[in-house]
Amino acid sequence: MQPPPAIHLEGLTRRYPSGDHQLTVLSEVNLSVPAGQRIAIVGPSGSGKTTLLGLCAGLDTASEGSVQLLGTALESLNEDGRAAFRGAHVGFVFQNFQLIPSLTALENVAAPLELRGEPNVRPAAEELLEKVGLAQRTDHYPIQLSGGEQQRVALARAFINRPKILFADEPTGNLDGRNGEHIIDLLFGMNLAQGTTLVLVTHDPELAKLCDRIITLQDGKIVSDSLKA
Amino acid sequence: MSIAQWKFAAYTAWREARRQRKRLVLCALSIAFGVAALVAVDSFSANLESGLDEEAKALLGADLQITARSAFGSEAEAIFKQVGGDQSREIRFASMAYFPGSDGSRLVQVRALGGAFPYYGEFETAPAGVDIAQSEAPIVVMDPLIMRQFELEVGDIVRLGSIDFTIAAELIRVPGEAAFAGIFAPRLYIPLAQLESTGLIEVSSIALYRLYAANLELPADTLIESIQSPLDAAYLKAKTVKDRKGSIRRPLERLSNFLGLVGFVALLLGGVGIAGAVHAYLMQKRDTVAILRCLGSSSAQASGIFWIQVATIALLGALAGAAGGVFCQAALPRLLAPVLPFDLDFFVSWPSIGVGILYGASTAFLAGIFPLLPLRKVSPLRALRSDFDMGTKQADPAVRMLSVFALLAITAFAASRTDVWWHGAVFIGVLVLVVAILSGVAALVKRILRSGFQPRSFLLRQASANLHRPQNRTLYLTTSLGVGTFLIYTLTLIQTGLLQQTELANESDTPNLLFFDVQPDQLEGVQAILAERDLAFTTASPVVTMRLSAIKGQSVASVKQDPELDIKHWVLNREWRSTYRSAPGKGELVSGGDYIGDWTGKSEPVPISLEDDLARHLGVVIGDRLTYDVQGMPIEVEVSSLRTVDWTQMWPNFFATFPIGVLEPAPQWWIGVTRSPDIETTAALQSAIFHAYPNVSAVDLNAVIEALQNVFGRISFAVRFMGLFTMATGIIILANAVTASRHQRVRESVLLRTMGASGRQIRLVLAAEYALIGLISGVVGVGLALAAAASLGSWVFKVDFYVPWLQIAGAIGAVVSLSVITGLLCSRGIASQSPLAILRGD
Repeated sequence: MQPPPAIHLEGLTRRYPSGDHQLTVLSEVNLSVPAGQRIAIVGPSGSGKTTLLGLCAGLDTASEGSVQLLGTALESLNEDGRAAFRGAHVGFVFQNFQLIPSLTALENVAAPLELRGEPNVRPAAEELLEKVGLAQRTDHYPIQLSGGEQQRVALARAFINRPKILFADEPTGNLDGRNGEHIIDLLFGMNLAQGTTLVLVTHDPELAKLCDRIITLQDGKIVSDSLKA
Repeated sequence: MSIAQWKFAAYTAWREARRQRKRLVLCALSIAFGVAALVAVDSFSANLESGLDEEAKALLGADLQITARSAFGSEAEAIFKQVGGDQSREIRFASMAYFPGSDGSRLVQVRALGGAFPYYGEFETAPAGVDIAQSEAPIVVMDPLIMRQFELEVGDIVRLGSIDFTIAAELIRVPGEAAFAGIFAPRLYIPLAQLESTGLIEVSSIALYRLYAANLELPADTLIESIQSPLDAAYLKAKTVKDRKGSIRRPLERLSNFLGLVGFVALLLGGVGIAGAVHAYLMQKRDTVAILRCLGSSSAQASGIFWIQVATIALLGALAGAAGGVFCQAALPRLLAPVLPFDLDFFVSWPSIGVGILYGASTAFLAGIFPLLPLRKVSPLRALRSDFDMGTKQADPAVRMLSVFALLAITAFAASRTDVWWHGAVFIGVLVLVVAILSGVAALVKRILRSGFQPRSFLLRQASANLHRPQNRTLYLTTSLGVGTFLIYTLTLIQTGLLQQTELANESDTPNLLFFDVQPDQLEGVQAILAERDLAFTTASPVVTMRLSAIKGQSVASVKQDPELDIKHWVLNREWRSTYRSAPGKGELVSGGDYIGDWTGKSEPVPISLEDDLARHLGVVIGDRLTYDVQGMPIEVEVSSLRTVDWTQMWPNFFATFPIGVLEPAPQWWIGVTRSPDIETTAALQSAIFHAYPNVSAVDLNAVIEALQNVFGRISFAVRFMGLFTMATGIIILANAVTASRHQRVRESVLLRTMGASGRQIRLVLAAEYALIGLISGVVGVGLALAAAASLGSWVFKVDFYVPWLQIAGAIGAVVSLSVITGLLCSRGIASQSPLAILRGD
């Protein structure tokens, strides 16, 4: 039997109330992403990229349509159920890093495992921090790290629970060229090593080209879906 | 949540707190002062209760005490036979004592004691062991107050009436009496056997006749029940240890309840502080919750971290407060010891500490839940879009339910702290009203500042802008500081108002010297002595003692047994001291009917005038008839007029005044008042009167007022002492709010600095902002306190209210200063931040 697609979207629509009418941000999106595929979602600002990412990751709920991750319909889960699902199968990398400011680098990386109640999480977190080149900064707080270093901690955190799907929202958006390249190398390297499905939202065409598939959004609709040869 | 998830929440709560310790400690302190106040008051009450129980029998010195306002007659003696056991007698009355050594005289409370009293406790003297009751020699044991005033020593002479007494000892303690018992008229004990020879007790003299009994066959309370009717018939008042305990406990309970209520306000305010500080803290933690939700944390787990933190803060604050409360508890007995009739041992009351911690922790936790509840709704989408769910202000039913619960809990607590439940409800109602007014004014001021206040000075403009910028704390700060100001200043104003009333004797031509027990044949002589010093009685009134025997034709005995008539027994049993005069006295106003000043004296009913409050107590109106027993002679009277009497004035005031022509033949004495120009004249007059008429008492009202102020001052200081806890909480709240907005302030300050502002200018902006907050809180808090004090003065204390302008200005100035000092202290370093470091840090 064929494994279910990592992501399967059907008729996905998202509207937000705006004054006395509804604003449609995403309209009738259909998409299927096989496991292990790396897709880039591109499009101009306001085209609905981040909304799509939020819906795919179960951070938001659709006005219409359905989202299935690894064969599980997210709409059948409540908020806590979706959170548990994320904890088990999903990783995130954000544009603004989103580290917990009161935790050290090591504690930030270990947090997803601790949340699941796993014991002895420190060695795994240390190993990942070493992989991203921050073995010497484990006890530093986010505010004591540069932007590039913070994003590397975020990458280590994203991979610690060996996610089946990784969502990355403009991971280099807040970094300079050199730091950006370093992050992309690490992201794709770790992605390949773990066979993770990658959903990457980006403005950067060069970065998008590194993915297997490019989805272009405009005005909340998929206007192109190109698979790399 | 599983144990592992709880573990993660608890561990993360601790990790989250690592870099916020100062802030969290400050937050915990918000509740600490309130808990300290409650623990101090409740522990003090527990100490009192224990002291009362331990010294129960010594509070009366006997098992039973029976008192009469006139000499014991045959009926009384028959009752005493029935009472049995060991008995002692005492006659106490006010008289002038003369000190030949210094040629001085003073009003004293003479207590002529005979028998083996006290049966319980010790009659402590220095030197010890002077048995005044059994002595056959003319000796006296004197209150230390008078010993010090006249520099007397053991062995010196004191003249009472026509007899010289030798001072045998100084009085240290009488069972069941406070050291302050002799403050109005110092106590002076003589042997009962020596009383008659002094010639001080006349037929109509005011004196209390007392019998002490102990070692009774029956328990005292059972015995009293069985002889209650004969006691009532003979106008005898019996008191047992149980009654005495009750009479001591009730006012102390009221005082400690009131102190507790004042402390409770500090606790409530602390709750507001916790809610505000936790709210500011959690506003910054919403991103953390969103990230945790993204990482797979459930809503309960993510917000559980902060629930644990808040619960810990609540508990730590309550524990710190309890520790502080124990220290303060030690201060209260020292403050109030002289007004307590027994020794108070200090001990740590663990139940009070437990209750204080429970109340404090629950209040803090309950307050913290308000900002915690919205945390459960933080969407993980915030991690992607930081502006997500900003500005959504949908009412949360859980918050509404919590508000109702909190209000009910607060009211229930306040009600449990007052004698009558609705007093507590009114207290909370007033507090809610004050908070509403303060919030309303703060909102209005913000609106005015936003729309129309454009001062030329940039610094002032910037300071006022800080009060209405987004996420400002103006409303919260103004409310907390304002409530503290309101409470403390209301208490201060009431005290000032009451003291102002007593100080009037010094400021105007109102009397300051009172003569009583002047027999009719001595009146002319006393007036002559006054005339020698160019003085005269401002007012002199005859006093005739009488008792009520019937109301509207129904005998007092049957009125007492009539279940439909709710007339208090003190009104029915009291000995009336009435006068006769042709017109209403000074300080009296006829409020209804016609005042009839003259009567033929030959026909009844006699038209009299009643004080309107007493008429209300008796349930009589104009036209109703009463019967008085005037020393054996029944006189029927008709209420022809009602008078409103200003009892705060130092004029002789009476409940019932008769017309001229009725009471003249009755046994009577006179009371007169005059105004002495100075202390020397007062002393000379007292001495001259004593030599001529030893039974006449000349009371220096200034000395009485001074004593009153002394007692009142101690109690009001205790109340204000508790009020300080509220103010301290207000300051902590201010410190919390300043700390919470520190990061934002630093950014603003750096921006100003990059534009060229100096450190001094930034400090000026901050000072102006806190001065404005202090000014709003001060003006509104003081304004509300004025309204509250005026209302209480008019309805409760019945005193005229004067506006102390200088004091008001001082109070507002103090609040502004406190606000500025606290604000600047908590903003230390903001003005000197390096712009570069901050920008890099961001």
